[in-house]
Amino acid sequence: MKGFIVAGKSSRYQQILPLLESAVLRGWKDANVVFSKFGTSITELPERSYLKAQSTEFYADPNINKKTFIQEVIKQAHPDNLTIIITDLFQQDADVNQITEGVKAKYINGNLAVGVLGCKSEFKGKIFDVGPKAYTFEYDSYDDAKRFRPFYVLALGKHSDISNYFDYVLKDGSFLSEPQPLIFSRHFAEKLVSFNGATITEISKMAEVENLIPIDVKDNRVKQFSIKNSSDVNGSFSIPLDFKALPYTIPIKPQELKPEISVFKCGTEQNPNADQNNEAEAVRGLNIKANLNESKIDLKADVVPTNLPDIGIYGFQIILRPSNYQMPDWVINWNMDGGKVEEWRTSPNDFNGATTYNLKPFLTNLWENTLQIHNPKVAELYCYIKKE
Amino acid sequence: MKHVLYIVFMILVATFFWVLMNFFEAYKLENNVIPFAGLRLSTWLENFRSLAFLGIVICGFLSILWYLLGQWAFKFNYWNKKFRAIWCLFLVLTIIVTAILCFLTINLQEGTILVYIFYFINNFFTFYLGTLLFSPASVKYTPLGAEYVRHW
Repeated sequence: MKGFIVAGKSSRYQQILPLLESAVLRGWKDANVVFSKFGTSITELPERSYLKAQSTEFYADPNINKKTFIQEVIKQAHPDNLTIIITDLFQQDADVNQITEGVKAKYINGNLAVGVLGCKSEFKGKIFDVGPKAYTFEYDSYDDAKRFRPFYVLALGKHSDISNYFDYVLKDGSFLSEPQPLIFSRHFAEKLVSFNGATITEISKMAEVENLIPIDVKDNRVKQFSIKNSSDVNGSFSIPLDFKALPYTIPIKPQELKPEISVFKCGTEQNPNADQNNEAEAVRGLNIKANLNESKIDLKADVVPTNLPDIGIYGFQIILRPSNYQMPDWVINWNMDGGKVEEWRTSPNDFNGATTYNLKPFLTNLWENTLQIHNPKVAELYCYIKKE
Repeated sequence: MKHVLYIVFMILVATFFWVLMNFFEAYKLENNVIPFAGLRLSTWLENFRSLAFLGIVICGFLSILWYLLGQWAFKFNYWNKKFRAIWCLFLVLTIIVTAILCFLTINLQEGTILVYIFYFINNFFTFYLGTLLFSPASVKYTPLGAEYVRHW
């Protein structure tokens, strides 16, 4: 990190340091901020001494500057606090796994979030731990913004705290070059999408009713319909639903959402001998297609009455989940091409210091762990359909 | 006293069709109509009930008006075929009322014909049965078919 302190210049890295504290003080009343520096070990910095990180002497401590053990910081961090780590994220392959495991165990498993704010800054100095053989390269970004070296503000804690923190840093950080905020979390939207404020735009062969469930049950997630028991006619309806994405979340791609549907028959007691085939068939009584477009989910439902075994009221639970995601372009662009490291060893002048080794595997790992544990959803809806 | 009684009976005829509308026709329509998107079935049924009630009230009023005219306005001692034209005119008015109600009713995807049939039955027969059974003595045979029915 020493190379980010460029003699004769006020690099973006130096400028962001005081901002990291002021964002906390402005974003939270009665906030208590504690600073530490870490490398081989972790040392607490009293009062405002963290500002010495704006000078090169800060990085010269031989007790700290041999290795960078981010995983130790994660181990010591308290999940109730918002933990901010400034790092260039240059990690060995094994370290990437250790850090991911640490973050997964303490934060992702605990329904907390991980934020990454990628920034770029002037740099002049040595870059260590490049490639599987941990090479060292000299690098100078000069004044060329395309050559600026990335560094990262890692944030660990509650999604809302991380989002609030990024808001304040970005608001006051107009000097930052290409800031790229990203939060890995189970939350995609301010609220799970429901039928609140939505109006059916098309409906065919079925009617929207209000009397299938008790009148005092008011739930925005519920819509009720009746359909005739007709063998040759399917019903359908279309409804656009409002979707407000949380800022900084990973983009959903492609746009089609994956529906999960389960069904239960209303008004009958639980019967352990109930025909499982009937239930499996009843699930096919409702087909859902949902596409996410900007701030709307276009939901189209087809009701097949012949797949609903008996007359009566069927309750369908519909959960919509993103079917695929797209890591933002900056992650791919800022990721170092590991295949070129040996080439750079022989031609050091070609070394691309504007990229980060193992960035994409690290962030992809984090996201895949989040997906595996939480399998985030964007909507949970209920349709009661009466077959007459 | 007899006049009050007959008018009350005419009101009862209208009431009968109001009950029929509320408890039979509305139930039938609930299972047979499909409103367009954005309109709940209950909202449409409220629209139907309001308009059907209005039709029954107007046609009930027409039957009472027929009674009042027949008893106190028409000058004769026994039934006169000339007044049948006026009765037929009232009958046509019930059909015009039905047409207006059909126009005012919120459109449906399905079941429209049934709605029109129910409007016609309610309005036409409120007037026809009320006048067939309870016209005043001076015009009691004026309604079509009354000569076979009115034995009182």
